Amino acid sequence: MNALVLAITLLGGAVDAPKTQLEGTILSIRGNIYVLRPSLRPKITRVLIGPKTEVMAYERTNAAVLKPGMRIAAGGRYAKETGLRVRWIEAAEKPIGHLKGKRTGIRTSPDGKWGNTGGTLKTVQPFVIRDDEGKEIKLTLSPDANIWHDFLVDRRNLLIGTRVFVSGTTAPDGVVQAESVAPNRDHSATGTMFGRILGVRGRTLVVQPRYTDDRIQVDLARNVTLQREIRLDPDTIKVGDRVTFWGEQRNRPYDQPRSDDLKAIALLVGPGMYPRSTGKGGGSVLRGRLTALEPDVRFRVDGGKTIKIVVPAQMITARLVPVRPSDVRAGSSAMLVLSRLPDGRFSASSVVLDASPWVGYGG
Amino acid sequence: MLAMHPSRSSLRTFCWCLLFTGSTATAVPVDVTTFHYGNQRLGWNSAETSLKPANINRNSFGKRWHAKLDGRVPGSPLYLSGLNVSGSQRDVVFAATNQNSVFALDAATGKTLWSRPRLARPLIDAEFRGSWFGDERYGVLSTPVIDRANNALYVCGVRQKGLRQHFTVWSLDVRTGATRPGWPVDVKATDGGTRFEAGQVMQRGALSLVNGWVYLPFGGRGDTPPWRGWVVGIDTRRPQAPQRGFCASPVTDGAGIWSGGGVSSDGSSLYAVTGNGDFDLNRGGRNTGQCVLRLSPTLAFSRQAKDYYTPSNYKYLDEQDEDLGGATALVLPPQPGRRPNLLFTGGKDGLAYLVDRDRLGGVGGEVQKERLFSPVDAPYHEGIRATPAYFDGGAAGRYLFVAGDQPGPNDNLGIAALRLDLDPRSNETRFRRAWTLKKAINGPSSPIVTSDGPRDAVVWIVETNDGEGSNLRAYEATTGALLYNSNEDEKSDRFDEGRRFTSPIVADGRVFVGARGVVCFGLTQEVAK
Repeated sequence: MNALVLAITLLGGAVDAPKTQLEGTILSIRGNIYVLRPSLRPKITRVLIGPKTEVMAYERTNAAVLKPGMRIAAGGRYAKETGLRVRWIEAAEKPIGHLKGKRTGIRTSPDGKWGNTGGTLKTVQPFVIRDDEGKEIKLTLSPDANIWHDFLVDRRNLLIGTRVFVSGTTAPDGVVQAESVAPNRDHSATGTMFGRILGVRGRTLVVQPRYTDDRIQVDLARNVTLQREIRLDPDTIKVGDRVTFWGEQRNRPYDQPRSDDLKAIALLVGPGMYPRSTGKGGGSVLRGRLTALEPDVRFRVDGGKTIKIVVPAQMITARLVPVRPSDVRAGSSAMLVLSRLPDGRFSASSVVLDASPWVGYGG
Repeated sequence: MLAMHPSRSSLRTFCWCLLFTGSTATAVPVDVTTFHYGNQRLGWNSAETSLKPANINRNSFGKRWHAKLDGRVPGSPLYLSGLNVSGSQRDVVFAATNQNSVFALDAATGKTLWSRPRLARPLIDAEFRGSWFGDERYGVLSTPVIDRANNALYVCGVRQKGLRQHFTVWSLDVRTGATRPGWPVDVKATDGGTRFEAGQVMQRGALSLVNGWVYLPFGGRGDTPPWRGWVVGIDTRRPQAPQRGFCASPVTDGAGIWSGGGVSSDGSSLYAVTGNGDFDLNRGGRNTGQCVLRLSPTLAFSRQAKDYYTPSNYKYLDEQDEDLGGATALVLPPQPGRRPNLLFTGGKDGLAYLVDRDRLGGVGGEVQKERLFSPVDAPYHEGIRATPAYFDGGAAGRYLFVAGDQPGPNDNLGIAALRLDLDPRSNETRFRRAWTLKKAINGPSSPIVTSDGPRDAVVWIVETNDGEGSNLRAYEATTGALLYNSNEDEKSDRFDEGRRFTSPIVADGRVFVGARGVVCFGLTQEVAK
């Protein structure tokens, strides 16, 4: 989940006081028990996703989606004199997830400079909400506010390898009773899993998901994409090289301030590309030529302008080459994109042999 | 290291004796060349003859100057007295910022004597943490170290070179700021088949200088996997020579060495305390999460129980994110009893640990452990994340001062002062609480102690408040009586952005605090040296 969504959820959490919130990757599914490896606390956690658990999705959007009657959680800078200047909003057509919790007034941080609130949106212009005690609160909507739209999705979105954000309570046995679960739709394709191939029989693989002793059976889909990741030494990449960057740009209509700078997830040499999320969460894939490595990394996009590349720690530098089904052998580590078949088995639409998780995909 | 001069070598010997005999010092200038006054990390300046409980109060003591530098000072300032800069003798404060800049300031006025702005471009949040949304800069994140004999200051910063991140160590001439020949060097260590990956780690722990080698500890970046704890050594005489490396968790993630005090040393061994991560030394493994480790100067580790300690509940601590490595291990001076050589440390679980330096004890082999901070049922433990300080008051007793983030049992708040005494039954030194504060300290720095030999001891600490409204506090060391709180005088003495994980320093009657720049406190009528 986006860091800001996490931030607002945590702020909302201060109101609702849920006992546990964690982000992590589903490692295995045993009935209603989902085993997660949290991203920041890399200890295995069991999560009960029961019939009352809401499976939600988040979509970043703009102020046009806000309509009177929507359930709102909002936060931002606060001053006694000027009230709350909203920098982020979560909105939904009906109370779901932590938006269900009772909200009264404006809660402020101990230093009094940040605040959060929530309730039902009364009017957009001016921006007025009504809290759960009926009090109307006028807010200032910052033009650079980040706005997320929450909605319910099918629980079949929860697959082994899916990164999710869980909100709930922890039972004495350590199992988190999930009140809501939100699959992360950033970057990687839904159902992305890392593991080790233990056996191959025809087009069926036996895979051990990372961090578990589990075994799952995976059938290669008829149109499966098979590739191998060959890691490259970043020091071998030179100015003038043709490369592909996959990453995030902040040049969408709702990004403030907007920038063409790209925060890279991976630098790829050659035509191969990792499977990625469809739609808005998949990031940008830009092909072009490196024009500078110092003091900043600069890149001229094919047919476009030169942009700055922000290189985060552990950006992957690799070449992806196509392989044949016969190259898929026991012992390989792999990244797989899975979907669930009606009989409970898994089907892989993409396999990248020798792929290792990129930073932030630790869980 | 706490040293005095002129006649530095003899006075250093004198000072060393002072640590163990409690005899009285005369007024001699001191140097603060490393975190907490020495590789033992005791945090005790026993040669402070100007600042006394009698004159530390708002009438006679306060803020003298604030040098607003180009960024935050994440580590402790350092200090050299009587340094020849531009042809005149100066007392000099050194500070390194998160902008990868280093400054030498006149200790009397705060004026910049020399500066090295942006030794390298610092990283932005998107580069360091992968987040678009922060505006922090990441450059120097730790306390440098000074080799006065060679006029060298060593400082480590993170930078981007092309497509890689690097931790780079510069050696600057303390008199001019010029980069010394052979430097800078990038950290490039290996341990067995494991290679140091700068992009995985954070360098918060203070640098140590032991027998000509600079040692740098590394922890994770907010536990974002994959990461591995490391200690890396660089030979200052041959900076381009192969580096020494110890990876604390070569097989799985974790075992970061993240305490602001870095690694401590008794001169022949190094002591590192690790945080979260797998522990399997007792099963023949190589992962050292939640341990106190003894490393040789070559960074060899025996994996034997005599050379490591971990609490018996290491697995629980790991699962609960209660890192043992919240504090650097203090190498205590010899104590009475059958176990004279002791280490003292504390963890995020809020417990203080005393272990035998001659035989660290393996799993559960501590001499004593006791909860000082953080209730057992706290939803999240942030008990001890600051390195304690030690004081030997002679007949007044030997003390440890431990700062904690959360309330503890027996109404422990803010600082727990522990007295070390010989337990006649076990014939071993044990600690017991002497006093605690009546109010909590929000985001405490590591405390330090000053005294004039065994007398006039004062505990200094910064309440960071994690940002605005930080304050310097001074307490009488044997009673805990508050002497000074810089926020009492909002107009003149307030400052912002005091830093966690580090400590103020006191030298020659002045207190220097790293914040956004350096803040200096002292007597309003300064006593001439």
